[in-house]
Amino acid sequence: MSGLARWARLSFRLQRWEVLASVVGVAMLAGLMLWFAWQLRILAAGEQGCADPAAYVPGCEAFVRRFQDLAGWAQGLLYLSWGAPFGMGLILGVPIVARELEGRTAGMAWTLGRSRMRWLLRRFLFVAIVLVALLAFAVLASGMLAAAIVPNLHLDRDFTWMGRRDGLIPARGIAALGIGVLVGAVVGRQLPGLLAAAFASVVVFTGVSLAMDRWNETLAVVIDPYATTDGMVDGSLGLGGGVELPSGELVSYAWIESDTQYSDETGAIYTRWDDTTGEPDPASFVGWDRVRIIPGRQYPVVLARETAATLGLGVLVAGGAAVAVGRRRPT
Amino acid sequence: MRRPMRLAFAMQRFELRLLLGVAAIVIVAALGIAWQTRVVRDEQLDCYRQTPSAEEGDAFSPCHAQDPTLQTLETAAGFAKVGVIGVPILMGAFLGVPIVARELEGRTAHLSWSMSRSRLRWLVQRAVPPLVVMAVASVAVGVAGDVLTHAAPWVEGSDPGFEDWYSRGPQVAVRAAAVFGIALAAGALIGRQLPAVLVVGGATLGLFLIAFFVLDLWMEAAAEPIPIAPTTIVSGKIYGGGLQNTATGQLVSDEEASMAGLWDEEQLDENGVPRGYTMYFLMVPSDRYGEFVLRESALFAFAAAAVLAAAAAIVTRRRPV
Repeated sequence: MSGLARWARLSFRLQRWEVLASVVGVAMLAGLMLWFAWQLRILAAGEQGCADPAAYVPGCEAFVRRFQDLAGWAQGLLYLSWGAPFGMGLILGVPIVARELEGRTAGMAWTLGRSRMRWLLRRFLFVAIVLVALLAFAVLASGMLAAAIVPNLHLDRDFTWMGRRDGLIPARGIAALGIGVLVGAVVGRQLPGLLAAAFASVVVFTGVSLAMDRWNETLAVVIDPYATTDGMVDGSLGLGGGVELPSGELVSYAWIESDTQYSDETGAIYTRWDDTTGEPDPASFVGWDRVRIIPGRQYPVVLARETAATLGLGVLVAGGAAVAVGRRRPT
Repeated sequence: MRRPMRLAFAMQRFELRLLLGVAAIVIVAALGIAWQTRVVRDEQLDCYRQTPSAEEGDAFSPCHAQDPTLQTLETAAGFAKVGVIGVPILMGAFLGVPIVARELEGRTAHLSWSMSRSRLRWLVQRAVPPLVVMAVASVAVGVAGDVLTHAAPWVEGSDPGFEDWYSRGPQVAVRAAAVFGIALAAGALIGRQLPAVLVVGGATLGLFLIAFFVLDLWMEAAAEPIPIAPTTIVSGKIYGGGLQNTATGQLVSDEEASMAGLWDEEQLDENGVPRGYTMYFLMVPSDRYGEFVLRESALFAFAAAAVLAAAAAIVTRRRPV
């Protein structure tokens, strides 16, 4: 038996339960996604006169209702594809070191390996390969499902369901795996380690999300919501509204010191009402109601940024795990 | 009795501290958000009172200043509600699994069980203290969730009905007890902690789905036609609606009414309702909220009792390895 096969077999046997559970979970999720995608496509293909299930077309009401009912259930699966990398990363990552420490076999395992680093790398690599392969499969299935739910959107330049159907899924899996290994190595017990890693992930990923929001704001543009049909531009990511002052500066609504703010049908904002004319008092004009968005065409840029940042985080915490393993006592 | 209890706490101190800490954060956050929501909403209502010509939702509505803060608080409330749902479930899973599984995995079960008068007594001494702590913490979390729901701007002293069903009320503790029972049984059966947690995750999802569908069936069966007038405010879970013949009391669904042409322009009265008919909702009124909470709690309590009994049976019968 080759060294590679022996390594894979040993690594699998050490985490058989977690790997099998992940395989079964992803298989069920992907199977359900593909089934829903197939059903939605059949439904859409059967109604030639109703090209867009999101649009109101007289005579298509029954089709739209059936399609939206099915799509509603299918969207629930996209939430699962959002949660899968976190759950799988932690379940696979925590026991790598924690189980050896809890079972008091770390001393033996680390002595048998040429170095602790080498031992950790071998364990980590196997799990990372399994994780990325499974999540890549989930990305394919969720991408097909998303395209079936919104057949008329160009999802390659649209922020709809970002992080639930794209390369961010495996990147998050790697980062969660790193957090799991690090916390498992520090805590040294599986269940408390899993719990601590879960809470640590919430904190870390919330921080990443907030930091990414700030970074991505550099791509934002200001639009006039009154010039669009629904106050937004298709595929864009909304960042909230504000008031554009005559000087061109964009400020928050709370910036206006007056408690009362009247906006007319053109989006102009005033702070006083003129009872004699039944209109806002022109002398109290402050600025215009505006919305900040990141246009859908920037989706690949934002996705690449966030994927790179998340992978960087994964490398960082995996490095931290290596330091923890290198320094801690094997008990 | 005090020593076994102290031991039970000592064996799970890490999980207990972590989970109780998170529960405390959720409680403080929920109460803080509820308080701030009321303060900001009061400011906004003050603004409306001072400008009597303005109506809420009006295009010329003058009281926008508090809207961004209220939106931020609503988003924060959403996260707090996730905490109210999740923390009791996590407590049930992570306090229940290791009680037996850790002893089996660490090969100390034989020693522990032989030192106690009976395995059942050992199990009770180990399981009851974390169960009690979990129940008390979950009730507190649920009550905080209730306060949060009642503080929402759209409630304002009225009955929130069936809104936020899973994220409020002491019933979250009953659900957590069922998860604890599942975790205890899974840990005893599988004998390894991490795989048992995975099984608990799947079984909990299954139990909640079953409870969801059973409750939905009960509610649909209990739905009654409630006549509504243009000035009536109704609150509850709606399952459908249509028209009721004022003379005969006969119910006509929306689709039947459309097909019969009852909604044609010339058939409508000054209120926009077909002449001779009253609109109705097929619904469960919100004043039956307590009844359905009791029903669902009974379901989860039954499940908890069943899995706890199963856990006891597994512990008394299984080999200590």
